Amino acid sequence: MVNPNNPTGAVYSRDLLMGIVELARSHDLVVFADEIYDKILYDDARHVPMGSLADDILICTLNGLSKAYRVAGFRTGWLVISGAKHRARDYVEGLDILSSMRLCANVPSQHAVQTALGGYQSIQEFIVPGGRLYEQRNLAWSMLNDIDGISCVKPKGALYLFPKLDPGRYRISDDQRFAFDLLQQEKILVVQGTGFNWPRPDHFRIVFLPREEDLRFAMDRLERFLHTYRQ
Amino acid sequence: MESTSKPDGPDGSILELPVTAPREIRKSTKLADVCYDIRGPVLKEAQRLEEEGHKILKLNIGNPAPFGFEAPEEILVDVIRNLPTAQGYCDSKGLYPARKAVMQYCQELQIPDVEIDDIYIGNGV
Ligand SMILES: Cc1ncc(COP(=O)(O)O)c(C=O)c1O
Repeated sequence: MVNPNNPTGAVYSRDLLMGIVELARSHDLVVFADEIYDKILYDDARHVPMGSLADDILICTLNGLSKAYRVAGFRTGWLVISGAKHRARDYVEGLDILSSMRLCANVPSQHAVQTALGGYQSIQEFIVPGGRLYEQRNLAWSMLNDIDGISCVKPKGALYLFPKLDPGRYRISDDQRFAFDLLQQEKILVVQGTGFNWPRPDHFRIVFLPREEDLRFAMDRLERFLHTYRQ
Repeated sequence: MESTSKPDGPDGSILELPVTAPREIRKSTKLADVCYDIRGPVLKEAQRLEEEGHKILKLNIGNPAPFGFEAPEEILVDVIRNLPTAQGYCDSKGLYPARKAVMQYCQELQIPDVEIDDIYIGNGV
């Protein structure tokens, strides 16, 4: 599970996460929790770490420096094993073999980890009112919802919006074709929803990282495109 | 590519080695079910358009740096300062101080019982 979620921006409640723990318990599953966006939260959203919810199932938590610390190109992340470790000795041996086989991760950027995780968290400035991520999310979200036939849930975390295209209106049967056509006509690159294993061709994902003026430009172009686009 | 090699004999024996075209080198069949549309045909078309000189607004991946989200300077300073002593391989699970920092982060998050050995540093998630 990815929490905060990419592509939807959902931040899962403790109740929902406890439900997943319960599922894992009753079906004897391992939980993989990708929490790379755990510090990119908006409004009153609070992130509940999966690993804090159970000690009797195996939980593999993933995180890294790519998003909150903005060094995606450094290629540094980590895996934490918690919970029912006593039942996972063989699995852990496998992890040890694999990590030995690749010798080690990139060393210079590992020196960033201690500084990143400790002390002042600069990401905070971006996610509060007046901060770039907060304002860009608001702008992109409201401009999207102003387009006829688009509806989009307001993200509570992460960097993405996952708008829905009204199937009755646009009749999109191939969302990769939609992304392709949008690219060719308006020179805007998005990812189709089926790229995230969404089962129906009626969503796409955009990132709201660009500055407000670029987002405004993009949303205007998208609106113009959708005005006439049908499949 | 047109194949000029002869088919195997009815008993499965190879009748002749291919005479002209050398073997095509193919990807592993293990990759058949890999779903990674983010890097698929739409991106290819974007690259083609860019090569033609078009400016593409990339709303496709969560890569903060190109949009002016720069790393905290403190982080860069630490990497630069340590670069001269970061030339060799390290412990396969990662540098001790880095893993220790992750361990302390887990304590902050109240993830119980996480020890240094439960942490693996990798090249990204
Ligand atoms: C859910 C999720 N996990 C992890 C990452 C980051 O991966 P990495 O640490 O390999 O840069 C991303 C980046 O897009 C992501 O969306």
